[in-house]
Amino acid sequence: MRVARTLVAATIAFVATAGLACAELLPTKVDVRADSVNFFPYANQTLLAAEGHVVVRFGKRTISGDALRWDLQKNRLTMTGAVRVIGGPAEIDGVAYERDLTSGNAYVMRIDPIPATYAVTGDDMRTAAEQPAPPGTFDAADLDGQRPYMRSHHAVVTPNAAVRMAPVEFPTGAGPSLRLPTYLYTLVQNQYINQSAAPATSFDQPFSLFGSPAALTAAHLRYDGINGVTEAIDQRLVDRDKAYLVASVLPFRDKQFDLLSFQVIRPGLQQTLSETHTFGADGINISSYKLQESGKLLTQTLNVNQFGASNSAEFDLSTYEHDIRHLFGYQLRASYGYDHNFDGFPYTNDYRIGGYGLLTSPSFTIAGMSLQAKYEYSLTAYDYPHEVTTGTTTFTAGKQINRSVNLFAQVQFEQNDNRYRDFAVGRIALGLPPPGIYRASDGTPFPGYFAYVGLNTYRSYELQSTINGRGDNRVQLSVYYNNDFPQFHGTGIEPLFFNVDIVERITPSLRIELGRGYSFGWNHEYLSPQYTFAISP
Amino acid sequence: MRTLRHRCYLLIALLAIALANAGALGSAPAAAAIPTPLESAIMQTPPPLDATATPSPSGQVIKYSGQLLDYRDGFAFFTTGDAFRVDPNVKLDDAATGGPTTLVPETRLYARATFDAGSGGIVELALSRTKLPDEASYRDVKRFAVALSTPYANPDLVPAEGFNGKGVPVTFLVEVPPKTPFADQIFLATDISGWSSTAIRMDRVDALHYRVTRVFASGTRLLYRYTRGSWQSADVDQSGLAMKPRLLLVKNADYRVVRDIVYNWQDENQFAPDNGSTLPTPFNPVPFNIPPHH
Repeated sequence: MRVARTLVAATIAFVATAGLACAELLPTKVDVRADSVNFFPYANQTLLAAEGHVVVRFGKRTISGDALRWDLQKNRLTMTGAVRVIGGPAEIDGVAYERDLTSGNAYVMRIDPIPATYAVTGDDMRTAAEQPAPPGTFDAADLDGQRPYMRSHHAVVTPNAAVRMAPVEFPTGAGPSLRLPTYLYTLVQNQYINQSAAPATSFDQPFSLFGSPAALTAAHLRYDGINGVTEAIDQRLVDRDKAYLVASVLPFRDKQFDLLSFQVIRPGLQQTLSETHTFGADGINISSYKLQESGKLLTQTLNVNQFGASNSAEFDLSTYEHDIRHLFGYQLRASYGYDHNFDGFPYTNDYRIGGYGLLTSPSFTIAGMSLQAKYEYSLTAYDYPHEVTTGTTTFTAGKQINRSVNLFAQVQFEQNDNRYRDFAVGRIALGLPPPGIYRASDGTPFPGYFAYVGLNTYRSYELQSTINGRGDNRVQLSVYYNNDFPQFHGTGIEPLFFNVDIVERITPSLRIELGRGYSFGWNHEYLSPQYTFAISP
Repeated sequence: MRTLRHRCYLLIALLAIALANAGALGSAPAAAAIPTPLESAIMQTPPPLDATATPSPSGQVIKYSGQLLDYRDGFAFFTTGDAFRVDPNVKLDDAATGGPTTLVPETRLYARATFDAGSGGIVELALSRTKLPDEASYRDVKRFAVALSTPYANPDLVPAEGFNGKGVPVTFLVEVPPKTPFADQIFLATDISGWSSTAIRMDRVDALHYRVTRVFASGTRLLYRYTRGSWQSADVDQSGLAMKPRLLLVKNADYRVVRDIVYNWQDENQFAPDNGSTLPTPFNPVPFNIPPHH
């Protein structure tokens, strides 16, 4: 694991310099106080709007006025009303003041002695040039009818990084507002700022604690069916579009630490390292390292994995997905790997070669129904005589019944053959795996693996209908039917599963998603409800 | 006679500027003096109106709608950055009813100003708390603005050229790879939603296509990625490598369709056979694999 250690060191090094790369000539902190400070992080612009006795402070500057509009993406603020700017070379009065925070340049509109607009640099009126401001300079976004995402009397803005309001109120439009002592909204536009290292869960509500242009610390409220409600804390560090590091701790029921780091070494060459450590009696370390390079014709990947005392390595060559116009698309891969399976049976170490092929049909339409088919085949040959092959055929169809109702169907056949050739089981004295007979969770006995020489088939039929309402509102119904071989009572995939998923936008800033599923004829449970729940802006 | 009047205007304007430079027109003592050089003032185009001139009304009117920055000392200031002289007998009314209004002209209110084409002054001001429909274009009333003029604008503050800021419905239509699990949902993650991996949920169109429509103001610069609900399942490029965000610049248009293709998902295990375990083992103790979509 020397490679992993080297990567960790390199990751720490880039993280240490990440903050320096993002330094800009912007104020580091801007304090905004007013009768009402509202934050609108909506689609067209991210806006901070303040009304009544507005005071903005940064560095030595204090800008006061009646109303403020601050475009947080362009870092341009406009103060109107009785505007006064102090702290510069001299005091400035006017009826409107528009400042570009990045350059420090501003426009001031004054009415004494006659109405006029001045372009000012560094708030120094001695350098002011009297000229009409370009149309729209003082224009304000129309916020009529819009509900702010959050509201306060006090906000602290770290330009390009975060807005913190304390105390803060979240107007919902559906009864009382949600109030919190403080809330941090990140403005970082780096796509990696929301990366996560923690395992996926059915519900995850982040709560940002601290932020800068290159970092974000957040607490998470999580829910999953196994651990119930749990908490997590993660720290994310980003370096432009080149690298990120995410560390996540689940300190309570899960008792898990995760680390995920990524780096673009050069265009076309990337490396990823992930580490997981679970605490407690069953504690284990899992590490994964991946180095990927893309060429003109092929992509190459090196995978190194460690799972406790076992490890594996694999090198892959893959073509891109090619299309032969109007006929089909295809992709091919080949791999070579090594496995060390600690205390493994019958081998501790082995080598393997693999091949993979994908064949896809073009999407075509018959009688208003879109159709598509694909076939995948993979073969892995371990040290003689062990082989695993998988073949999957999938047909997908979709039809739009009317403007709001869609219908989709998929049929999939998959056959796996995990076998030892040439009666090798007997020759190498493998015998049946102990105990030979397994028992399902309800106590039902069933024969072990060699009873079917590793052959199994999955046949799944899926039907899904989406009924779209206005905006985000929709209802989605899904039915899954599985007819597998071997299909044992209480083990494998449930034969019949039904799911309903409802998405409802309660307010412009609140969307609720509720899901409920039922299993039939599986493990003596003919009704096994499952819930999912999600809230998003 | 007309030439004589124009010369009078010029003389008055120059006198006002000279007095302003000398601080004789009552600029606030706390404020800095504005040292506009006389030479540059002479080179500048004289203002079409000044604070004292009162040209005769023509009877023709031009209506212009906009948002007020301020209203004081006989001037109405619009968010275009211009001040317009207000007629002493200006009529204030309600923009919706045309009748009397309780609103007082102030910052952020919307107003429909009726200009006398001859005098250039505002003779009627209709007020509203909501945005008013466009009337005459800005160019039609620009000539009535009271300001000294130079042809130069501060390049740092010039708004993006060519964008009118109107809402443009943008439809994102994406083709996903055939390997996409049937039951999965597709989302748009954007920079303006804090890169939430489930920011905008897309609707399924057919086996391989998803669609969603959102309205953005023209001039909006949007970075976005496609995900299947988490960053572990975000889109990657054709070679399977992590990619930079896609960029959309919303131009002036009535409607726009953005067509994208997702070649791969980050969580696709492209190479290992689906043998149901994280590590390939010579002996498979789990005979019944569970496909990943369940």
